[in-house]
Amino acid sequence: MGITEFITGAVLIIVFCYAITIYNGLIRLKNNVDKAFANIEVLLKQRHTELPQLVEVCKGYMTHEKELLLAITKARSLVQDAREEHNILRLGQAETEMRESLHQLFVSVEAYPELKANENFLALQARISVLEDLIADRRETFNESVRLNNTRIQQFPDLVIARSFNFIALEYLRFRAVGLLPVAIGSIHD
Amino acid sequence: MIDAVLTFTINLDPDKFMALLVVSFLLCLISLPAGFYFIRHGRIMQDTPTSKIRSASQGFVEFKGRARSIDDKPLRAPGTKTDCVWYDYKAEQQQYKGWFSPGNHRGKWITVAEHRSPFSFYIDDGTGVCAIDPDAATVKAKFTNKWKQGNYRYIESRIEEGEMIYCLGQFETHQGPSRQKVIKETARASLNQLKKNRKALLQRFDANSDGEIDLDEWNTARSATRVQAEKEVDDDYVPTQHHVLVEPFSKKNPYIVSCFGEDELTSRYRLYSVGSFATFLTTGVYSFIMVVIRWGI
Repeated sequence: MGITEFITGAVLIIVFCYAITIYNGLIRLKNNVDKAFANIEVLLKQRHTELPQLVEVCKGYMTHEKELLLAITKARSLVQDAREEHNILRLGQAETEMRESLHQLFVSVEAYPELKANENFLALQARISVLEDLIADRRETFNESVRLNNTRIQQFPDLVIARSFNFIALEYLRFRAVGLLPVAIGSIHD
Repeated sequence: MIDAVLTFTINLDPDKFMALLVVSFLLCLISLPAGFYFIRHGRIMQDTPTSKIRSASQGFVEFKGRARSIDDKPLRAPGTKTDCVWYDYKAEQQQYKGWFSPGNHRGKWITVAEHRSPFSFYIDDGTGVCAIDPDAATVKAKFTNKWKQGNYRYIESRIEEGEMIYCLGQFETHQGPSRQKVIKETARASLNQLKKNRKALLQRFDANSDGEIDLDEWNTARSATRVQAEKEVDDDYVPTQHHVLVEPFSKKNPYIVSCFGEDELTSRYRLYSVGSFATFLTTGVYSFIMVVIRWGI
């Protein structure tokens, strides 16, 4: 074996190990996206269980807002379906609907002083507002993970490995973040 | 250049030749994994999304924020007496012994004192605060002072209050006691107080006035302190939460606290990896040449 073969061999070892590092890095990025989505899911599930209680409390007072309450129930099930299907595009649309309906609800409450004074309602409103803000925060982390993944698979030399092993660009979670309540956020750390 | 290296190698005496071969081979062996270590860590830094403290999930995370001392009580760096949240201090003495004798005009710097702050400090990203346990962390501080005094030299690195820091580590949230537990503790403390003050105990709970507290009276005292404790602890009591950043469970993940930004750190790691690969190739080729020279393979 001559010096040229030796150098070629050494360079090949580096290239091979580098390819493994890139592959593992892409797997890590994909897992980061999955983890970030799972972190949003936890909060969506929590809100899913809180919403019927909110609607139930409001029903007793808001006799003229049946359509609004129906819209919240509908948006709730749309979010649930999209979440279970892992359909990011639909989840974004459903989440926008949900936030707009909730925003409308909390604005309408102003016309119902008795409901506004109901402790149960106030507690639910505060909890849901906190959850909404945390969901918005975690969406940022999710989208950051997606951006890192999508950038990586377009960069050389990562794109060679990405194309060979079918790593694909992932969808961003987009929804309009409507401010619900200026509530002091206590953390929910799962 | 190559000719000079070859001539130097050929003319080495056998002992030095073998020693050089072993060193070169070991460097070759170490530099390859070192190169990948730097690449991997650089990539982990780049690939980990920045989380907000208030909504961060438990596990390996990245935070960016300002360094804050706990309870607004900054530490005092031992060398410069500057207020800071973390420091690493080292005093070295120049000693002339053996090979480093005064005749060689060069002393060896021996560490005579060193102290690294073990105290936690906060990172505050505007959404919350998280305590950082600096014990096992690789800390990269920006403020560094070096000075000499006689045959001593001192090196001190610090993270100062309000400085921007970048952290990677394991995020954990510790819950404070539940409402029930607080009530139980408060009731127990009240009972202990009563036990110490026998006069008050008898006055309040000695129903049959026999100067003794029997079992029924003791149970009444327990219930009363419990009711009192329930009144004292708010209905909307929320257990406190303490966020801490500690060493990751997986040793593959780095634990870094740095005053240098993510980009600066990753470029540094990239440079280290290029250096390591260059060392791998150079020492590999050199070891190969030495083997050919010695054994003619």
